[in-house]
Amino acid sequence: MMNKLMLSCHKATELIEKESIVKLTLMEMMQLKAHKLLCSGCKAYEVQSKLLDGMLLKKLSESNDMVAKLNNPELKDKILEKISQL
Amino acid sequence: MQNIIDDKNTLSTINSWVEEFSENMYSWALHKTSCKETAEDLVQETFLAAVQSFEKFEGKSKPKSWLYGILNNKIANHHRKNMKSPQISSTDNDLFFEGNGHWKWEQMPTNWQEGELHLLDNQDFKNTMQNCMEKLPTAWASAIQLKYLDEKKAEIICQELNLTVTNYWQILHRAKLQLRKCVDINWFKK
Repeated sequence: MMNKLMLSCHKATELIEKESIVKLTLMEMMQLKAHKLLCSGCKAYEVQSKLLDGMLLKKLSESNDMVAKLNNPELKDKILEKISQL
Repeated sequence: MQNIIDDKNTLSTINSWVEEFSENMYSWALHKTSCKETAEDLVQETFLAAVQSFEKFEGKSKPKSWLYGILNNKIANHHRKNMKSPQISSTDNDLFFEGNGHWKWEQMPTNWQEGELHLLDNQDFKNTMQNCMEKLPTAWASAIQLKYLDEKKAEIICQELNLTVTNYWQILHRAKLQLRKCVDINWFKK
């Protein structure tokens, strides 16, 4: 029973990512919970992974006018040239 | 081959759009793909597509929304295509974990100070995130982008990509390990 409950850190972090997109099975939930009680590295990983999730969501859902404007004059010329060749 | 653009007006209209919108579109595409070359390609393709389907435009929508509509489609397709051939090798894990699956000593995450969502208001931090996204292999970056791109459920994304859900979160896992590490080194432990 104890062995069955013990996950490796590799597996535990995988389950943390799995949980962010689908529901875990009851067994997986228990395994992950047990692992996090004993492993500070995976606990920190989970906190940071969720923080990154929040940041990515915030960053990637920024609207068009919030995105930093970059200059790329070469691209402009490249496109104009391509169009003239059509 | 038939000349598609015989109308001088079409050309001059599109050229003025290139002048007005291409740089902002590039910034947008880079934000959404985290890859400079890809962003340039997609913006170019968007304008070429715009020339070719100009008669469909008909001024029903604003030029800007029409162009961004085409661009956003191309961005979504780019991510889908990328994810069709995801590269995962077992050696990716060797970077982080021992043979028995436990953290390598120097790779084990430790707590972040000031790990808060509002860090994103800090432009330096935002640049660090962006650089770390750009360093990810493209299929991995696409996995992350797709997660937030549409509000779709994972099952539906996977169906579209012909990918198992297991495969999808395994790719997310690899991508997240690397992204976390990169942000860790370049910001929190700097």
